[in-house]
Amino acid sequence: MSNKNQLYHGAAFLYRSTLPHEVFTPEEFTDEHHMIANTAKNFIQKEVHPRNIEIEKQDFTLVKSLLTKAGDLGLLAHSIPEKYGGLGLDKITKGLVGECLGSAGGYSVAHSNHTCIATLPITYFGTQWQKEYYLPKLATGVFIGAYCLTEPASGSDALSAKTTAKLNEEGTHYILNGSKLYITNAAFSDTFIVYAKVDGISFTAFIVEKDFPGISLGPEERKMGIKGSSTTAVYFENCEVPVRNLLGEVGKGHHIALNVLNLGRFNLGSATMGASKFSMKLAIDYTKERKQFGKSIAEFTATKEKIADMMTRIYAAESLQYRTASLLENALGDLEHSEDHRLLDKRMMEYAVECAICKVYGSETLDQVADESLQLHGGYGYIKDYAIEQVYRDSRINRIFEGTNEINRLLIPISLLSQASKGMVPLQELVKEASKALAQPATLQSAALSREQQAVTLVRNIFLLSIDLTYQKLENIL
Amino acid sequence: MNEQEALMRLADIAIDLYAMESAVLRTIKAIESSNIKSASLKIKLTEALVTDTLLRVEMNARKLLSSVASEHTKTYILNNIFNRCSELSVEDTVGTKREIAEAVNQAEDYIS
Ligand SMILES: Cc1cc2nc3c(=O)[nH]c(=O)nc-3n(C[C@H](O)[C@H](O)[C@H](O)COP(=O)(O)OP(=O)(O)OC[C@H]3O[C@@H](n4cnc5c(N)ncnc54)[C@H](O)[C@@H]3O)c2cc1C
Repeated sequence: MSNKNQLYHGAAFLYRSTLPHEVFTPEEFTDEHHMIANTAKNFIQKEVHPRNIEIEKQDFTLVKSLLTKAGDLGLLAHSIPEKYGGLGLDKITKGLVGECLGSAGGYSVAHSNHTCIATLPITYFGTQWQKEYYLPKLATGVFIGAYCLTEPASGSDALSAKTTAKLNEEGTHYILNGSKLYITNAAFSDTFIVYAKVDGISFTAFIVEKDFPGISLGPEERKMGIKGSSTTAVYFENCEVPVRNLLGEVGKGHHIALNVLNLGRFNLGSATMGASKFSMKLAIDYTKERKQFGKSIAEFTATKEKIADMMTRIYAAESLQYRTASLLENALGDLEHSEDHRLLDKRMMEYAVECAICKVYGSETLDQVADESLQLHGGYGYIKDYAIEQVYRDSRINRIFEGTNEINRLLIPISLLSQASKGMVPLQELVKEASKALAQPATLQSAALSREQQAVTLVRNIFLLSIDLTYQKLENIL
Repeated sequence: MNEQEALMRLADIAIDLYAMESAVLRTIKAIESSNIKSASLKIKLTEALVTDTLLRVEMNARKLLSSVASEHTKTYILNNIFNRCSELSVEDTVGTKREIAEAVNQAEDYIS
């Protein structure tokens, strides 16, 4: 794993090479990792898959009871410290649980939304009281959580939220007014992490409970997929939130919102990679079974090419996912009990580029895999009796929520450009080296993967030259 | 923000870089900690991935550079990119991909 001076250099892969021993790989999972992965897989296979028809019919009482069962098995508790009733496990475990849940469609979204963006704001930024009161309930599923950032007029531009909060005259409650849109788990949530502007100016996070006066829900949205997760609008009409439910500091809500989304994006990468494996398995089973022109369609070489293309993408997704898990663990593992919000903030944002890549690569891998898996089913794939039909519909949302893939893409080069403009990365020198290398013919060697290693260096050099030329064109506007 | 087209292509290249590097490092680590034979499927997956990724990177780079490079350096830069990518794109992956699919079909699930 990484040595000390390699720690906390987010996005460094863009300008310098890494040695094999510095990355974590799935070949190094411990027995504990395998154990919790098996628990998650068993739970999905025995409890969730058999109830899929009811889940798809939006039986949310069932979904909630499954979440509670998951809580009994410890599957909601990996990212909550032991001190607060959780298991305090590492980010590799978090990734593994996310992956194993990937095959469970809407249930998976409900589960991950709860453990990730609905719980982590309290884990990392809660007060002592908030942690003691809420975390044990969220760890076991006694409470289920939602995360309310999006509004009708503020989606990608999340910080332009219009919901307001005003301290009442007695100084006992913040009074919230506004509406949030497309909130996952809303129908059965007990806690809502809500972002609102104090006095219409300072972006701030609050923990709102479902029974606080003035909160209400819109009707269930009629969605294309992930039907097992509830999605509704959430309204606040003079909603009274006790001051002790202010989360973090007034005016610092955007730190919480964005930090937590980073981990959400990492988790989405895990879930989509797991769903890709599930989808490919459906394709493999079907193509071996189905016969046309006197043989199983798996034997056609065009089919083999499709399966191999799925495999290579999934292999890459898996490799980058666990590499990132370990980077996050190194950055955050020792901060479970930290009260230093600025340090937390810095460490959580460190790997924003890597987390954005997890989200984009995973969701686009899933879309390709789901699309080709369905194609390999022919007409049967279009019929609801075949599981691939649901996989295809469920996959589409992943390119949209937790920051659209466009927003996540923009973040990648802009992060490096802003590091360079602060003098944190010597871009000019790096570009000079890269240009020189690009003018030199390659010398091919016969060692295993030497071509592939050279290709990585080549792509890095191409990236550096490209970002430099883009920067020159952008300079006047940045 | 202007020049979003260029930023999108940069992001595509960055994403492909992280993906291919992660796979290459993982496979080398697997070879080093066991042996070439037991890592043979990983090697095939990595070869096929890198070949496909390199083609996409070349296309993205050419699209991007033909819009951001200055007129007098453009031909030189694009030629260099073309030559470097070609040198490393010689691998015929048809056979490799068939072997990958056969391994997966036999396992009846994702394996690596
Ligand atoms: C099923 C579902 C569940 C959801 N769950 C939650 C939840 O639990 N909590 C929550 O807060 N939100 C949730 N959302 C909301 C989701 O996060 C937003 O829909 C998403 O962030 C995009 O915002 P938008 O829909 O307003 O699209 P817009 O921001 O209007 O974007 C529309 C298009 O414009 C593009 N675009 C926008 N800005 C730019 C730009 N600067 N440059 C280039 N292109 C741009 C986008 O990429 C997109 O393609 C959910 C949505 C759905 C559908």
